[in-house]
Amino acid sequence: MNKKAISIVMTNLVYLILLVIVTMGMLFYIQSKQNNASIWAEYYVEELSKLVNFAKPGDIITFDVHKATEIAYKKQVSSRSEIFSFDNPNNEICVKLSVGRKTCYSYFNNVDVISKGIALGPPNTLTIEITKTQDE
Amino acid sequence: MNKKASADSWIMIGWFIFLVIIMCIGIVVQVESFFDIGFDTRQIDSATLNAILQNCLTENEINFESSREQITEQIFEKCSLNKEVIENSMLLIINLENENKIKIGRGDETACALVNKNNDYPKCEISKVKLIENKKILTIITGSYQDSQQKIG
Repeated sequence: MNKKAISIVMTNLVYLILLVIVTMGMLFYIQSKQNNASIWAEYYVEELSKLVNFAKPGDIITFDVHKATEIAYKKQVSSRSEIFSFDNPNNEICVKLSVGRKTCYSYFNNVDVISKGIALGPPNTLTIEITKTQDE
Repeated sequence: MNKKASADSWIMIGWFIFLVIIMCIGIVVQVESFFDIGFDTRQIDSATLNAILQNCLTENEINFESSREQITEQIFEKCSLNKEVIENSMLLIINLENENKIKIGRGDETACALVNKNNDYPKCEISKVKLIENKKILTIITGSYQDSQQKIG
């Protein structure tokens, strides 16, 4: 094979390899946006915060979280108890639908939230109990 | 092929890489702008706080003749509100017959009015309540700055 032909083949091979690398990279990035985990986490945390703000001590709230549990399962969140967490001293609710990342929102109602866990359905539901703050 | 011509073909690879990078940046920006818009629930937050205060102030007796600190304490206790969250993420103004009684949190009525000009200002809700005991008008202005936070964990 003459040198010209080798040069053409090499150049095109380099183009091809670069194209494959870039395409794989973009597919990986787009796949990471699948399931819209961050949007659903924001939706759930804000909806729960609204419910807690209107609630009174003694209320028991059951909330459909089927979509959240589906996404958390696909994103390999290790346990159901990690998905919804309630930080009572800071009046904060956090929802974790991706590994290593959670979305948090504060509520202004001066109450504590006790999670009763997620009951498997369908639909899967989360039950929480509203109580007076611990220092009362 | 002479050396000059062979050098040109490798320079074209540089251009190719540059164009691919521009294309990737474009795709990432479009995807991020579509998927990461998020929800703005500030208006709902301030409406919720306003509704809670309306109920609370009509059902409970608050002595608005006392000092600001005492009025604040009464409101937080009787309306079951968390002071830290209100101070850090919200705005609460209560006026009795145009006289300001309490102001908690960042901002003021002007900031509320300018929210359409600058999205960093709070989204507010304003309501008026007539007190039963003295027939005076109470103006409740609530605002919210709050946005969801991403944390590692």
